[in-house]
Amino acid sequence: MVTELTYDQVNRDIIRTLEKPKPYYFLAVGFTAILFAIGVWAESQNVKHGLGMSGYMHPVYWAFYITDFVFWVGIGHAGTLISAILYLFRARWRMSIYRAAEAMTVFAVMTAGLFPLLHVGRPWYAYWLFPYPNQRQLWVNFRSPLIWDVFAVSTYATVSTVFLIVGLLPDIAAARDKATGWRKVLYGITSLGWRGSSEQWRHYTKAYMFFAALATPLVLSVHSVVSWDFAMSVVPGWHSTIFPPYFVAGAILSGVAMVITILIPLRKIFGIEHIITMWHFDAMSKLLILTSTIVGYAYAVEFWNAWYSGNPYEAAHFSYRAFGDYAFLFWFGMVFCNSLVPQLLYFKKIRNNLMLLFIATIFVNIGMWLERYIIIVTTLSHEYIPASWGIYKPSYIDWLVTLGSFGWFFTLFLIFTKLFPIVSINEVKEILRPPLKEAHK
Amino acid sequence: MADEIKRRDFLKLVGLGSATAVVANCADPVERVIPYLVKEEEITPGKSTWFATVCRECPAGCGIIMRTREGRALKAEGNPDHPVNAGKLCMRGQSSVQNLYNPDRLRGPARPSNGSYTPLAWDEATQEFAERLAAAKQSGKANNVAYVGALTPGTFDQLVGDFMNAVGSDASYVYEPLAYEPIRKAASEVFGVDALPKFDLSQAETIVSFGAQYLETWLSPVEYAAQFAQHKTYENGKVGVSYFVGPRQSLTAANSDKWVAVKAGHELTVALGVLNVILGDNLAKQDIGAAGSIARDYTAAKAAEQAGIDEETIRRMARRLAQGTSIALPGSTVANPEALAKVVFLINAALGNLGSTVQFGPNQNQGRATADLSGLIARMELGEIDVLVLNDVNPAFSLPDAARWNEAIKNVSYVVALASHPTETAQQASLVLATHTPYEQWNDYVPREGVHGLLQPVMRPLYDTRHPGDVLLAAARSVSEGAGGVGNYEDYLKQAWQGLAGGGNFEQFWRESLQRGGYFAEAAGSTVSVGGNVATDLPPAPSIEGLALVAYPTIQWYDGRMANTPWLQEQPDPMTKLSWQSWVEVSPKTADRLGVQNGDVVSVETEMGKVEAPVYVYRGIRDDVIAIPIGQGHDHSFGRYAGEANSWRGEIIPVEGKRGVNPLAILPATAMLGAAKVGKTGRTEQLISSQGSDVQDGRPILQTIPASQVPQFVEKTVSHTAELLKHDKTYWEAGTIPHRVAGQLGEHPGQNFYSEIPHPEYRWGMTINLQNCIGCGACQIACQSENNVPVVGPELIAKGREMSWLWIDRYYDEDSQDPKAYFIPSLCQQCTSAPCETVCPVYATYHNPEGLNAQVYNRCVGTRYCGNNCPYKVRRFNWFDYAWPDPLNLQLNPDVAVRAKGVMEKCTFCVQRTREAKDLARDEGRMVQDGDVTTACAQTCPTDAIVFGNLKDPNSQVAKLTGNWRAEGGETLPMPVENALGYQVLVELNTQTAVTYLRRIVQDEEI
Repeated sequence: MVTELTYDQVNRDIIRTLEKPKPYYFLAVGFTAILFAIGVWAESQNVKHGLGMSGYMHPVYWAFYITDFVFWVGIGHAGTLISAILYLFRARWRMSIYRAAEAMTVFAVMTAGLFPLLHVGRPWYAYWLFPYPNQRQLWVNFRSPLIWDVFAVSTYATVSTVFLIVGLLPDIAAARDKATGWRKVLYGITSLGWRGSSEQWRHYTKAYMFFAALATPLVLSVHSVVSWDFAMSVVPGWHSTIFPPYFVAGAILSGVAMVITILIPLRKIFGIEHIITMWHFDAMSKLLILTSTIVGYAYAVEFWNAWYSGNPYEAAHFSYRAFGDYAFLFWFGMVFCNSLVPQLLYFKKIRNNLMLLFIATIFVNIGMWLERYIIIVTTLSHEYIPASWGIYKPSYIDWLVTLGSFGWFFTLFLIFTKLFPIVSINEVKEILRPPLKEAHK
Repeated sequence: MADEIKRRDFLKLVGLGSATAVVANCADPVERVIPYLVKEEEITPGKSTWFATVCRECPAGCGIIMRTREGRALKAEGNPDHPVNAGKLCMRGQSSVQNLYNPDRLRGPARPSNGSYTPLAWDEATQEFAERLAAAKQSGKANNVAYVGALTPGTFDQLVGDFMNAVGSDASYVYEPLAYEPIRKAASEVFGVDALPKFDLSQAETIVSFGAQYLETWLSPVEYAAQFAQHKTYENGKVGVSYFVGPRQSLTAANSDKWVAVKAGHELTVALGVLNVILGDNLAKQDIGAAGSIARDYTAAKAAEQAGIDEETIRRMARRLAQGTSIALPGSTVANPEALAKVVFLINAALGNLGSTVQFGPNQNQGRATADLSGLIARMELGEIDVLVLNDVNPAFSLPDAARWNEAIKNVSYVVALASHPTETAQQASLVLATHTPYEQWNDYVPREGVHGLLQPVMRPLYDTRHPGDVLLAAARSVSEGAGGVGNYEDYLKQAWQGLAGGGNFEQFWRESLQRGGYFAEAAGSTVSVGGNVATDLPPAPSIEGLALVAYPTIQWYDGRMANTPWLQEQPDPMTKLSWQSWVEVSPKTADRLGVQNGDVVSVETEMGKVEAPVYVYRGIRDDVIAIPIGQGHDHSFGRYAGEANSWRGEIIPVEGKRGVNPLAILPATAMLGAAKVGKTGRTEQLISSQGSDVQDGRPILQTIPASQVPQFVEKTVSHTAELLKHDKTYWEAGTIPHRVAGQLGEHPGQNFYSEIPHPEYRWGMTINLQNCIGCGACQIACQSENNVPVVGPELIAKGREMSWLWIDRYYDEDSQDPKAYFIPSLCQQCTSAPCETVCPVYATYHNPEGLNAQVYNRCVGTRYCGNNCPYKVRRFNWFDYAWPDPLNLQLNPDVAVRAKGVMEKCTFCVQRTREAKDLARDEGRMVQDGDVTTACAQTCPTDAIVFGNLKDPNSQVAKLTGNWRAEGGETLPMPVENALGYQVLVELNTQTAVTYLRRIVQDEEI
C-alpha cells in the first residue's frame, strides 16, 4: 500500500524520476518530435495550397480535424475531474495520479486548441474569432457556438494550467532542495520562493481548494459547450438536447482511459509501482464502467428519440448510422469499443490484469475517436437533401496532421516527465501514515 | 511662424508624394484596350455596353446580346428581339464566350505537325495558298478544288459560291455531323417542297416525338423549350400530353409524360403503327391519298411486336394525336431517318397539322443542303482533289473510321484548314489559316426565312487572325481578278444587305439592324399538300441480335465541337449527372446479366471497331440497348480540356491520352446505332458524378401534384387563406413570404428566437416553376459566367468539390415503375431566418435589409460551420485557388470578386445586378420596377421557370407567384393556379426561404 511508505522514500523515489534520462528516453522524444514535425509539414500543405489538400468535400465540411479537436478536449477532461472534483470529494486514491492526469489535461487542451486554428480555411485570420477592439469596428457574433467554444476552451486552458502550476509549487521546491546545476536554477525560479512555512501552507491549501471549486464547473461546461457546436445546429443527428451530458460522460470516459493508457507504462518505466498501485487502477476502472454505461445509454436514447420523435430526417439519419456506408465504424467504435469493452471491467480478474486493462483502454481510446468521427462525418454525409449526399474519404494529409497531434502531445508530456515530478510529492505524503514514534523504530 | 510647415501639413505632403510615386509606378504600359466600333467617347469605364450578334454554337442561330466592359466581351445573353430565341440561351450559347477566350485558340496562321502548330506569317501563308490555287486552276483538271464548310446560311454561302466560281470548281459541300437533310428530303418527296418546316409545339395539346430530342439538340432547342413550356401550362383543367419514342430516356424523354421505350432503330415501326391506327380507325382529319398505304402492313399489333412495346400504347398515341391540336416530330439521329420523316409528315398531314403546328413557310435552316461526304471522299482517294479547303469543320473526328476520311485526305496534295481552334482535321492540313471566332466577325446568319441575324465584332480580335470571308476573298481574287467585288468581307456583307434595305436609307437601316441584332421580317406561309407520288416501299428496319449500341448527342457537348470548353466539360449531363468522361449506359437488368456495375470499364465492339469506357447503370434505357454519348474522344490536339487531364490544387493539367471515346468512330455514319458486343476488361474507372442519391428517400424536396387533384388543391388553399384573412387582415403585408405547410397557404410562421429583420425597401425573392423546368442546365452556366465560378476539373468533381452556385438535381420517382425523372434547380434559398447566419462566428454571412444572405468574402475565416448548418447544402468552399489560364481570365466579371482559397461562397441572387439596377433607379429618383433587373439564371431560362423580383412590390410577378396577394376590401382576389401550387423546401425548419417552388403537375390519367 502507498500508505506504508515513508516521507523520505516518497521524496527519493519521485525525485529520482527527474534524474538524467537514459538513451531510450531521447529515442522516444525524438520519435514523437519527428511525428510532430511531419504533422507540421502536412499542415503547411493545407496553408500553402488550401484545405483541399485534406479530404474534405461537399457536403462533409468538418471531418478529421474537428474529430481530433473534440477527441483531445475530451482527453483533457480526466485531469480536472481527478484533480478538482475528486479533490473536493476527498477521494484519497487521486493523490498519486492527479499530477500525471493534470499534465495530460494541459497538454491535451494545448493539442485541442491547435485544431480550430488549422481546420479553418484562412488560419492566418483565426484571431478574428476573438472579440478585440479594432479600428474596422468589426465584432464577433455571440450567437455562434464557435465563439462560445473560443471562450470555453481558452478559459479551461487557463484554469487548468494555473491549477497545475499551483499544485506543482511545493514539489518543485522539494526538487530544488535536492537539485544541482541548471536544474537548481530552474527550480529555484519556478518554485516562486516556496519555503514550506506554515503561513505558505495555509494560503496554499486555501487557494488550492478555491481553484478546485473553480475548475469543477468547467469540467461540465467545456464539453457541454463543445457539444453545442453540434447540438445548436439544425442538422439531423446533431440537433439534440442529450448532447451536453452525453459529451461530458464521453469525455470522462476517454480521458480516464487515456490516463490509464499512459500510467500503466509510466509507473513501470519510472519504477513507482509502489506509489501508483493496483488500488488506483481499480478505482479508475470503476469510473470507466460508470461513464461507459452512461455513454452506451446515450447512444441507445439517440436511436429511441429518432424513432419516437417521428422526425423522418432524424430517423433516416440513425438508420444510416447503423446500416449505411459507415456502419462498420459505428458497430466497432461506438458499440463494441465504447459500450461493450468497458463492461468487461465488472470482472475483477480483468480489471486487475494490467495487460487486459491496457488493451481495454486502447479500445476505448480508438472507440472514442471513432465516436466523434461518426457523429461528425456520418451526420454531414447524409443531411436533408438526398442529391447532396456524399461519402467522405480522408487524404494522407488528414492522417499526418492527426498523427502530428499525437506527436505534439507526447513530446510535451515526455519533456514534462523529466522536468517536473509526475507524481505529487506533497499530496502523496498527505495520505501516508504520519511518522509517529513507532515509525522511527 | 506662418511660413513654417506644420507637422500635419508635412505628413500630408509626405503621404501625397509617396502615393503619387506609387501610383506612377503602378500604371501598366499604355495599351489600346478599347477597340470599339462605336465612338470611343460613348464608353464609360465601369459601364457595360451590349452588342447584338448571333450564336454560332449550333445551326439554330439564336440571337445574342454580348455584354462588354472596357473592350472585353464578358457574358452572352439571349437577344430579346430575336424571333428564334426571344432573349433566352441554352448552356452552349452561354458558354460561347469561353470559345472566344479559349486558351488553346490558334493565334495566327501555322503549319501543323505532330499535334503542334508552327507559326507562319500571313503574307507567306496567303501567298502559298494563292499559288496552290493558281496551280490547281491551271492544271486543267475539272473540279479539282474542293470546299467543305459548316452550315452558313446567309451571305457567306454567296461568298463561297463566288470563291468556287473564281477557282472554277463546283465541288462545294456543307458538312454538319447532326444534319437534318433526311427531313428535308422527306419533305421534298411528300410535299414537293425542298425545305424544313417550322414546327410549333406551343399550340399542340399532344406532342409525339419519334426520336427528336427537341429540348436538347434537335433543330432549335431553345425555341422549342419555350414552346414546350407553353404546351405544358395548366389551362382549363388540362395540361399538354407528350410522348417520346426512343430506346433510351433522353432529356426530352424525361420531360415527356411518357417515354415509349422502343427497340433501337424502331422509331419508324412505331410511327407506321400510329399512322396505321389513325387511318384504320378513321381518326384522320385530312385525306392523304394513296400515300397512306405505306403503313398498310403495320397494324398496331404488328408494329408493337416488332418494336418491343405495348400495342395499347400505339393506339393511345394515335387517339391522343387525333384529339385537338397535335404535332408529331421526326428525329434525325435515328435509323432510316428519311423514311421516318416521311411517315411523320404523313401523320401530321392526316391529322390536319399542316399550316398550324407544322408550317411550310417560313422554312428553317435555309441555305445549301448539307451533304453526305462519301462522293468527295471517293474522289479524294482517287487523287482527283488537288486543293481541299476546309472551313470550320471537323470530319476527322465526327465521321466514322469506316468513312475512310483519314486515308483519303492523305491523297490530297494540298489541304487548307480555316479554323479558329485546333481540331483533328486542322492537324491533317498542310496549312492552317487562323480565323476570327464568330464574336470577332462581321457576318449574317439566316436560320429561317425572314430571320436575318447579323453578327458584328463584339471586341477587337484577340490574336493575329483573319475573317474567313476575307481569306476566301483574297484567295478568290488571287486566281480571278475582281472576284467578289471590291473591299473586304464587311463591304461584301453590306453589299448583300443593300437588297434587304429595300431602297431606303441604307446607313440607318444598317445601324438599326445592328442594334436589333438583324433584320426580321415575316415570311409568307405556303400551303402544301401530300403529293401523289410518295414511294411506299420502306427500308428494312435494323435487325440487331443481342445488344444494340446507340450513340446520342448530349445537350452539353452537342456533336463534340465544344469539347474544349471547360464549362461544358464540367457541366453534368442532365440525365446521368456525369461530366468530364464518356460512359456506357447499361440498364440495371443488363448490368446484372453482364456482371458489371458502375465504373467497370467494358469494351464495346461493333463490326467497325472497339471502344472502352466505364459502365453507368442507367434506369432510362432498354434492356437490349446500350448507349454512349457523342462529344468525347478527343486528345490534346483539340485542346487542353478536350484530352485527358488531371486536376490538382485547383489547376487542370493535361496528360497524354484521349478523354473518353467517340462512339461515332465505330458506327455507320447515318444511323448512329449498330449491333455491339460488350466484354469486361477487369479495369475500373471512377464515375465523375456530382449527384448523391438518385431518389428522394421519401422526402418532399421535389413535390409533384397529379393533374386531377389540382382543382381541389387550389380550392383548399384559397378557402384556407380566406379564412385566415378574416382573422388577421394585416397578415399579408407586402414583402411577407407566406409560410406554407403541407400545401396550405397561410400558416403563421413559427416563432423566431431572434428579432425579425426589417426589409424597408426591397425584399428580393424568386419562384421556380417545376412544371416548366426541363433540367437543361442553361441557368447553371449562366450563373458560372456571371459570377466567376471556377472550373475545378475531373478529380475534384469526383471528390465532390464542384463549385457551382446553382445546379439541377435529378430525382427518380421511387414509387413509379417507369424510370420517371424530375428536375429541381438548387440554389441558395436566401432564408429569412437563416441557419447559416447565426453560426458564423465573425458575421461573414449576415442578413441584409434586402433579404439576402450576404456573404462577405473578406471577412470569412473559413470555419465552414455555415456550410454544415445549411439544410439546402448550397454553400461552396474554396478548397484551392483556382486557375483561369490566360486569356480565360479576360472573361471574369469585373463586378464580382474572384474568391480566394479558404473562403465560403454561394449564390448572391446576382447582387451586382440588383446593385446596378438600384443605382440607375436612384439616378432617376425612383424605385426599381419589376422587370428592371433579373438574375443571370432567370434571364436565360428558356422556359421562364425562374422568376426573380421584389416581393415588397405587390404587383411584381414574383410577389404574385409567391402567393403574396392581398385581400381588397375584405374580398380575396381570384388566385392563379400557379400561386396555389407553391411550396417551400423544408418548410418545417422555419427558415422562411425567399425561394418558392411551384409544384410540378404530373399526368395521372392513362396515357
